[in-house]
Amino acid sequence: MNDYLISLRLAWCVVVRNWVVYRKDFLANISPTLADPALMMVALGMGLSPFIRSIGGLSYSQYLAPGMVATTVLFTAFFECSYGFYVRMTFQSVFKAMLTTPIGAREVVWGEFAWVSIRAALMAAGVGLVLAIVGLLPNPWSVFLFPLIGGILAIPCGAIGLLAASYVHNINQFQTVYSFVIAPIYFISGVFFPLGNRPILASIVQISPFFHGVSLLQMAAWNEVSPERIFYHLGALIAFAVSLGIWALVRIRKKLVT
Amino acid sequence: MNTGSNSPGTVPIDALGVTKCFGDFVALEGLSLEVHSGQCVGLLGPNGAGKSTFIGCLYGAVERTGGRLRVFGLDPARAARSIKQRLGVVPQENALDEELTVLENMRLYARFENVRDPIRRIEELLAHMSLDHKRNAPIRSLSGGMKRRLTFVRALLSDPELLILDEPTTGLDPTVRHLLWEKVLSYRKAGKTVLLTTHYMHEAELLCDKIIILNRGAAVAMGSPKELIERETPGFVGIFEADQKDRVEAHLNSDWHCFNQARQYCVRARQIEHLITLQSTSGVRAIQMRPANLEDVYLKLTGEELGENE
Repeated sequence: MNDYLISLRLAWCVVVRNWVVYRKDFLANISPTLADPALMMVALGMGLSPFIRSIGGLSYSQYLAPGMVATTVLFTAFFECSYGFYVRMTFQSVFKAMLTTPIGAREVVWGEFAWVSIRAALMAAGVGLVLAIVGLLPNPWSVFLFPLIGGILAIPCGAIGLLAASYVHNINQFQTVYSFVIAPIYFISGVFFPLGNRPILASIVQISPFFHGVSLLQMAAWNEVSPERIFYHLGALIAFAVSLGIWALVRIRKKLVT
Repeated sequence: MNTGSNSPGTVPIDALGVTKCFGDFVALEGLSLEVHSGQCVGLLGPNGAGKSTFIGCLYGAVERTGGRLRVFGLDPARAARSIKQRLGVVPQENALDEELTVLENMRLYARFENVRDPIRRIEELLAHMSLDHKRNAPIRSLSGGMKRRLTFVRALLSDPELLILDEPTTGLDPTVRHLLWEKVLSYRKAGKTVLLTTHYMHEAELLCDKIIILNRGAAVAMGSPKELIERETPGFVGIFEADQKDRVEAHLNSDWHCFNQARQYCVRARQIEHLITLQSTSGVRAIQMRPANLEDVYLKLTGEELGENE
């Protein structure tokens, strides 16, 4: 069998392993991922909507809705690949045992990406479905695009998590990564307010993969079809996924193979 | 899955001048050794001697800095996957998924190893390691000995030609240790090759036909346990109370070797008669007199013996 096909089979084994462990405590694992955006929608959407005029013809809840899908993807991918990966690598020594089998560092990283991508796609579909049912998606058919965009967005977000796992010296340092990397890209990527009339901020966020994911989700949810913008944001997202993914692979390989 | 054993006369592990540096620290310094098929070879050495580093080099978990290394004729730096398909490893840490059951853990690893008919193979090995009654038990409920036996099951899933055991019995009670020794011996009887690291000299003496003693990343001695004892520490050892040292010392011959060890004073002489004479001339009765063993060799070569004559 071709070397890459074998790698894909082994990476899938990593996905299966993660799923088997995840499903053991399914409710505890899935609850925070779904509860966070739900609480956010209630607190910000319902709470602030009466005080905010419409944004581009949308209510504030409708404005927030696609951002909540992106939020679910970001947190699912980042936390799984940062804390989750670090615990598997350091405290549980899962990869030490895996590396004695035909699985190598490349398959571990590919498997982690596939795992977060699938999880994020399913989460995006689930959150999107709820938003569509409660009427917060002007284009309800966009729920079919959410898994695709979520699955792609999960890769750069997961790569940031893996990079963090490769750089931190102890588990407490993830808090620093969260405060100085994840929180800024989360709060200023257009999830909570439009960036149109803030040119400096709008320029800075171009280097955030999360911003491009949010933009794609918003275009889908609001039915804003613009081939140029789709091409630009999708292209940027894929470029971030590839470049951050390769960087993460190199770094994690160094951690696993000394 | 491999179904046969190594062909006799082949060399599953062939290392020549293998070096590994971690920054300025030299973990392996020109290590050369050969492991022939069907042999059980023991790597002994103090903590940090390079045993686990060498083991990591064998399956690509550690990248060597220099030298030539072949496992089944393949270079682990280029063909780790092909090598790993033919070996099983019991690492120092069990690294089992604590949330999962015994069966779930083994099924995952059988999938990693692409084992055909995995359930049959797992059941067979669980029965072999007397763990079949625990198949549905979560890992966290198992004792340390059971977890270790399960790690053996995991290593044997693909019926490997070469079994690598990195301190397999450390921290286990004697009963479990004896059980695992039996399993290793039966595995050897089937013509398989074993590479073992251990801190238990008795274990090495019992299981290995060849011993390699490492110190500071280099091999300082190599041979069968008997050869090493004959060559490095021939004779018998008399063990005296440390507070009798002065009285014993006054009657020593110059060609005897003496050293302090754990609040005891030891004298090694060629013949046991010499020690009996020493007892009568000094008037001090030895706590114990015994033939020199691998531990004496180990302590001498790794420089941990508190030598007085050397």
